[in-house]
Amino acid sequence: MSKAPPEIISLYTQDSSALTLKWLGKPLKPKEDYRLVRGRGTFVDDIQLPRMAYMAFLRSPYSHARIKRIDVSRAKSMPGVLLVWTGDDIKRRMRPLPQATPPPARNAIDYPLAVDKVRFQGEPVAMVVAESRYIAEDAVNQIDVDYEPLPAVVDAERALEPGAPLVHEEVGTNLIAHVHYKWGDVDYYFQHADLVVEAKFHYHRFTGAPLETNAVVADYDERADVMTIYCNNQAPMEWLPQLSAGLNMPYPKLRVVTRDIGGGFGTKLINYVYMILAALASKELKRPVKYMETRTENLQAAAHNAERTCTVSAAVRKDGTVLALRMRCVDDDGAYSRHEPAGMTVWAQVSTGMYKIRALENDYYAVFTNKCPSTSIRGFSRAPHLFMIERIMDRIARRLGMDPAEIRMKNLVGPEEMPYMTPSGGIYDSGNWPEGLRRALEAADYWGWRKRQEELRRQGRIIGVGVVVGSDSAGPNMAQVKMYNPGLPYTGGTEGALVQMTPDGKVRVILGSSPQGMGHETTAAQVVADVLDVSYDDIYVQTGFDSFSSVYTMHSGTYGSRFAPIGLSAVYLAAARLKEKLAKIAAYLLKCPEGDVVIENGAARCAKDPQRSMELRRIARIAYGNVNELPPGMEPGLYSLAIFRPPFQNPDENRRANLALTYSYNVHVVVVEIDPETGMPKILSYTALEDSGRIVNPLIVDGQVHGAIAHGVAEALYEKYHYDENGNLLNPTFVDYLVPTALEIPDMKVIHMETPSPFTPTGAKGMGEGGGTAVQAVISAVEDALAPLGGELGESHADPETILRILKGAARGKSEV
Amino acid sequence: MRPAPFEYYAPTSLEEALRLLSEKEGAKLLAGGQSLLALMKLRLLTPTALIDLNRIRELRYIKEEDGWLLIGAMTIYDELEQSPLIRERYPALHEALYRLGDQQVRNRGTIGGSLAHADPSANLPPVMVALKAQMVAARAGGGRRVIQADDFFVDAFTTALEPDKEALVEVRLPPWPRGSGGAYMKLSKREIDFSIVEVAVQMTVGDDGGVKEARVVLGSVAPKPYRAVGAEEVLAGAKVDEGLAARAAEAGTRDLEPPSDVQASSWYRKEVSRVLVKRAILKAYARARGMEQ
Repeated sequence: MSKAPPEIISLYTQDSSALTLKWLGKPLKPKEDYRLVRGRGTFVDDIQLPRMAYMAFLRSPYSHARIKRIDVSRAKSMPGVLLVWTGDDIKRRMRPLPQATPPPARNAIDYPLAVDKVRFQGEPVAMVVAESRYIAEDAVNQIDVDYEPLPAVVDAERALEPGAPLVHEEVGTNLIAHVHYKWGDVDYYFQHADLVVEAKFHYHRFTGAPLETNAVVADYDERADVMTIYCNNQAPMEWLPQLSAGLNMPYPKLRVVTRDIGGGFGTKLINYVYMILAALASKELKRPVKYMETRTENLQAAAHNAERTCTVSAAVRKDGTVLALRMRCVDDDGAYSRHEPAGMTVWAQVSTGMYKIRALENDYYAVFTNKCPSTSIRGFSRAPHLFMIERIMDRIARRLGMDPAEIRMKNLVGPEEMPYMTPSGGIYDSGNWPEGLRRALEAADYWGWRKRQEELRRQGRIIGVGVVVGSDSAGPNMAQVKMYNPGLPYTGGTEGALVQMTPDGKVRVILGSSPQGMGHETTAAQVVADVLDVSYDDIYVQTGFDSFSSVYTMHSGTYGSRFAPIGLSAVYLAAARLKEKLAKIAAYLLKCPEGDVVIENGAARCAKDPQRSMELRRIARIAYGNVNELPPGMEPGLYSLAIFRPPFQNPDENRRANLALTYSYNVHVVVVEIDPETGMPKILSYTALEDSGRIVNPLIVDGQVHGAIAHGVAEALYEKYHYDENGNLLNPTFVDYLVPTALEIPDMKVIHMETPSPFTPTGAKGMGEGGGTAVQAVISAVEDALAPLGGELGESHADPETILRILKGAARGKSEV
Repeated sequence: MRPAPFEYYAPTSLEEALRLLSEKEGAKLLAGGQSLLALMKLRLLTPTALIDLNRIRELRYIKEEDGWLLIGAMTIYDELEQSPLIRERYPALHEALYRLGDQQVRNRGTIGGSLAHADPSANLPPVMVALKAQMVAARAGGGRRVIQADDFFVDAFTTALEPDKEALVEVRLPPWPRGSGGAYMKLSKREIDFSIVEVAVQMTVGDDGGVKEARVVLGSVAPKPYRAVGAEEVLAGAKVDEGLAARAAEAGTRDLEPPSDVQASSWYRKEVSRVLVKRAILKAYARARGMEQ
């Protein structure tokens, strides 16, 4: 531990010596819940400011069309309408949004309101700000737009064909980026394989469907020349450059605030477009401007995941050893690169999945289509990649007549190999994966189900059992983006925290994150309580993010399962340094050698003479007020600021790098039954084993497991966007976009292992996204049910019709189109 | 999600509501609002005025009269679902109510609102046709007429009610003789969804086990409730077993040409129609014979 005063950039250390393990791991009641369950949260829509005006959008009914003319005169003349803007008005006020893509995709021109052309259905074409939202929407209805519809491109593979309609003419192609990855001697393994198993899979389009949609209140204070933006963005600091450029304001004049956020799941990263528009309007009108997205707007036009289509070949030995993979993948990123094509690199965090696969080649493309722009929906990029690997493992098992659990056991990375380096340079930190698989199989009565499956099949019942292993690789190394654009000045993955003991001996904590229900106030308080050994109830964690007071870096935010590995590490460091300072002051005041000072139960005492002790709150009072008592030369106050920096490096010339800090592990075992006459699937049993390192709060870990399973079941069986060939989204409401209710989510059995990460001071690993394991497990189970009939699923979504078509042999599953 | 401007009236008597309906051009009656308000918020419907029926107490009741069950149009689903009379005498209706929306919807939605809206996928219309229900329509000035359920549903979202004049005020369920039973089945991905296919079956079975009368009605497969007459013919006089039910289902669904939408293709609807009809026949038959609740 450094003895220097708090430094801005701390070097990485695995030192955990400040932990007392008195408060970590306890199921303490989440601090946030007390206000949230009573309806006392503060969400963006709860913010009411004097003279606030309201924004609404006219959105494109076409997926691809030229805007020939917009007539806003009737809308402008309506009473109560304050402002009507089109793309041309925006173009005059800001530069296009910066593009992170390499050339020529970088030539794409992206404004928050469509200029000259619309590129996806639901794209904002004009905006109205009015005295009320009702008036704003009435005025929206009075705007006339003359469109010239253009042929749309909705299929990612066809988008690359010559002659395909161009989403961005100025790019000259629909290709966003292409990267050819090759790690290890793939050709050798394919030459020496006993067999090659090949398949093509599609990971479908869905979203995260948070309870709260995107929202913003922008409040320009003309006197102070400060813009305050209340928003629900998951990572405001990531987008501050966009905001600063769009508004032409320096960071110290731009205050971005989040409070309670009603779920994000990756959907709330690219809502900066709304933030810019509301802020520009607020500056123009010198009034606060609120925008609250409707559910239809959210489903249609906010943020989808990128669809992915991969052909996967596996080089396999007869004994089931998987030697190498060769893949070709295409990501459908939609109409604009607002977050993507990050997904074409992020998958490499888990390049070879959970297995000792020796080599991997992936010919990777990301393309524009006339669909909603995509972002990092829960399980971002790694979930689809692990899907490809887990699906091919099932196919290999079937070809070899092996049990799916056995082939996984055979290929899993073993505990003796940890930390394990993958061919792409990833460093899997810790865990006993085969043991985890064994325990999950036992808890799920896997072998019992296999027996019952046979018996029931003889009675005409169709049962499927799926077993899948996965990881939530967590705490991303943003240098991964250099793999598609080496010029991007964005690397590493850091987070800040401030821990202050206030003069009354209480503790105030300020984070750099912007949580959306992950319980950061709880887990941060537990880490601080654990390090300082003060009461959990005496710790006060500021809700949300505020760029005028939070300790931030450009990575700050809540995404990529990063708070446990990175955010809590910053909290640990700040608390540990505070503890050191408290010990130093105590040593002086108690006349005790510094090494003998013990901080325990809210007091400091001298180990050699327990009579000599002092409550921390007395030390706090001295540190701020009675400062002549402090050791000579010591700086008063008890502020401790830390920024945690993992030892990340840039990818080498062969694109090898460790791209995440921790790798949690999970095993899901699912049993489904299929109605033979209707194809309707029903989950009979769900078991999940989770090893996310040291558990900070088991209530929160279990909640994340439950949520990830619910999302995965939703994606596999209920939630899927359907676009027609003209780019019309056919299900943009909750009537047809089927978010499951509690009735559809099965009972789940969750069991744990706890292998601390050696790479984080708390030993905790990130785990919130869940790695998409539930999607893979449900699909695996459905395919297992269909396999004896020769049925295979080509997609990450299985609806009853697809299943029935396979059962009937009437056609191949429509997912294999 | 804000509706376009509209006038709002909250009459406290039926007569006043009917008078407003005839006077206000482009007005719509507001019952539980579970469909109408959603459509207005999406601005798919922009009525000039709403005439809210929720304060009209005289339209909310369940009562028996000469063996008939009379239901006021503004009676909410939840009240109907809780009714022991309906559960015992009209199990198909009870099941259709139990499987209708979620509790919030059942607390607001009304039988009259649903039937007058005539959504081709709604739970109640096929049940009404299967039960041979009668619809009572009223107009300002005291005029009333009775419309048979078979004639009430004209097309998707279209009923035999005269637009801007008539309101549905009462639903009358006829008594079914001893030896009767019914069943309602619905296939949907989520429990709260509109059905992909639904079927209501009502039948009377003689002491010898032969079917005396059967009505088999499908929903979600046509613009209005679809009488599976072919199935009814196979059932007539027959003793029902698995094989016969399958034959009836086959005959009853042979001519179906269901629509395709984002949830299911025409092919799938037709396939599962056959399955549901077969299962509902078996269940209704068992109930009619007192073999199963």
